Amino acid sequence: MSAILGISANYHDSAAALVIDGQLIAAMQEERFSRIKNDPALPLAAARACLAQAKVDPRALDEVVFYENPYGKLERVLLSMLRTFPRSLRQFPRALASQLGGKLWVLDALSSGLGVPRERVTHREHHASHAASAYFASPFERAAILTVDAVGEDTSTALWLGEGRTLTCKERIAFPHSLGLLYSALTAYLGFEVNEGEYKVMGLAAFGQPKFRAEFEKLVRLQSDGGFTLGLEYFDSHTNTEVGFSKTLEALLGPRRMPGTPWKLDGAEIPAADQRAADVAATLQAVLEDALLGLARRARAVTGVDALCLAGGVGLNAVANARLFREAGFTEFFVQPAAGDAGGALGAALLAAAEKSEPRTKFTHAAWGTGVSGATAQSIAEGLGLKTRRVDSVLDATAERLLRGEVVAWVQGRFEWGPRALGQRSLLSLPTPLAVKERLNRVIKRREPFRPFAPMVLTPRAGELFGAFAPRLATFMTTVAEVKPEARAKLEAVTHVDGTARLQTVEPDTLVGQLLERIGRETGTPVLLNTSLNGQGEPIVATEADALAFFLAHPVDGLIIDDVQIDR
Amino acid sequence: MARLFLARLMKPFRWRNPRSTARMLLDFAKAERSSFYDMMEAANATGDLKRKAQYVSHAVDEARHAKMFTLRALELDPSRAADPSLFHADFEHLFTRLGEAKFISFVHLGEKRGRTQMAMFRDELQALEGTKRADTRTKALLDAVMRDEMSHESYSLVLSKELGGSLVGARAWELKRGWLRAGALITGLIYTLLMSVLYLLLFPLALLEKMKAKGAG
Repeated sequence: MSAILGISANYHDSAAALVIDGQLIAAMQEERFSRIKNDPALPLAAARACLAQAKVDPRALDEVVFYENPYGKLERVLLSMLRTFPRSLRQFPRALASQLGGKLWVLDALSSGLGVPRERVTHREHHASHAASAYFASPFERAAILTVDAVGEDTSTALWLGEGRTLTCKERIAFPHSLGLLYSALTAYLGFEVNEGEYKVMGLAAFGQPKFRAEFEKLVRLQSDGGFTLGLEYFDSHTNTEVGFSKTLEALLGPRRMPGTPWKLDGAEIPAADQRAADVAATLQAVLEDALLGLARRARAVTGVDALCLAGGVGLNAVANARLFREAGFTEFFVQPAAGDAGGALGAALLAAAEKSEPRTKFTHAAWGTGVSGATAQSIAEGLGLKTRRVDSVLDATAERLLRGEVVAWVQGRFEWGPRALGQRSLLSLPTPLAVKERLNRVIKRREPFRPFAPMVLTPRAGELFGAFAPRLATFMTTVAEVKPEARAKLEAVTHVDGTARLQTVEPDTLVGQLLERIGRETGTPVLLNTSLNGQGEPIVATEADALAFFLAHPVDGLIIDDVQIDR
Repeated sequence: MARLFLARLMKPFRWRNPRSTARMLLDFAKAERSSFYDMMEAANATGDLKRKAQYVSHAVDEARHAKMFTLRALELDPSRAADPSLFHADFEHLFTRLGEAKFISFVHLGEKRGRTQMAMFRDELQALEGTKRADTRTKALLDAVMRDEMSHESYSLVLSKELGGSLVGARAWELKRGWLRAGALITGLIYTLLMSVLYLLLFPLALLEKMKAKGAG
């Protein structure tokens, strides 16, 4: 028997994942416990929760694997500082304090924090962890793997071949040429927070046209062999970590949009600044897709295989994934739901298990977090003066409320792995009328009005309502599909302005699947609007207490935790 | 005590313009947000279901206060909307570090201090009524928040006694923390200075690295 704990930490989305005898047992992000979104702190709470799930003592762990090489990272940071001398003067003390004050000693901190002997704490390489997270979680025996993110130790993009239990790196693109950094810099330029606002940029792109192609050719030069280089004079990630772009970029694209500026993207008169921002986002999206397509075609040519896995933060771009599926020439495609840095924890553990020749895991769902108890929820809710009722049938109680047009907070089973609510910690409503979208965006989630909501649909019925999509991606909501024109009226609250939706397909034999079946019987459309159960700027809820805190602070109609229905 | 003393000293400089009021309200918002994290950690960590409910209720109040302070601050100074640290907060894992009894004693002290400071500011604003510097809405905001703070102060004192917490022990820990923070601030400044000098001394290495990179390119 081998018990391996994978850990990612120190930059954003820290996480832990526990693999026993090659099988994934638990995988959780620290943010769910600290309640700090994208928490980069050492994930000791998540690690302990993973171990508790399996009732494993930390001292029984065979290996704790950190997802990247802290020494390689320090080397890259130092070399970057030297290369940008003297512009990095202000950054140098901060960067060194961050490295020497904690990041460099992460393996020791894990050893003491978890009570595991230091010699059992090891590390793997950042992009190898990403590659492993996608390939070893996929069902493929042979696959090309692309890892595309901001930067690992010194690599931003890598092409791998996965065969059986081995991963072989075929090609790499070195930092600072990085699609992740390009996307992050433009995210900041458009007034959103880096490592958080990337989804917003993707949603915004649908409101614009790629009118800045000529300007973007200066930002990123795509090569015929699938490679790319950035126009480094437009980026400033070494000396300005807040935004990552230089004044030259503002000279090229116009002044940046200040964070917090309100948006107006509907109606007859769209402000020029808003339209320009949407056009920049649309161009960025188009260029990113072109770059990924070039990389994927290169991957196909180099490996000659039919299956593709994608990992790294860029893998969460559902719109780009849909285009890769359509145009890259692969017949199979897989992206696991925590494709970003959190996924590194999963990959590091799976890679170490593969090295020990353990059997490959089955990754057919995303519910790898901690569970909830109706009894606990009821006690806390009653202590808060809320009305509670144990229900005989969760499905009946929930369906009845949804069919009345209510917005229901739904908390069932173990929470999801990754940034998407996939039916364990969700806000649910019918997918029509459009008014529900307005209510959710403006009053409950309090987010930008242009952001779309996603549908969950019963797998066997998805083809009736949506165009072609990558089935393995739709399970984890990492792709989009066209909403068929004849279905749009029925799905108006989940159809984005460009006629697409970021759908999730659900199997009928799950609890959510049965709920969709029930809804389908009544309305003819087995679809629900599904958005994550979290307030503005907060991570998705994990526990009964988190869900009740959300319920008290947000005007949803009802809360269902396990078999307990809670009302005000 | 030192914080209140400092706040009293700064009285002549308060309420001079909306921007400084906004800055002060954002400090309050940050403190409330930090408290939200600690109370949620407490709610999730305590084994007692009744106290879980009390901590959740307290956390929800703190989140609401943070939002109220932030919204008022942005009305007074809309330029702060662009501040990337607008929604940031410190999270010190106080429940885990202190244990429940000391934690709740510390919460009581913090609530009492916060409420006393808010009452002082509220009285100052009351005195400014009818003058050009009057700010009735901020005064009303402080009134609204203080009501909750009083209830937090009172329940946390009851719980502290129930759990055998020591206010003196919590105060001592707080003083130690203040001392360490001051030390960290001073050593941080010295460190930054030394590292900046070190950076400049790296000039020959930087030159070599740049030449190497140029050669490779």
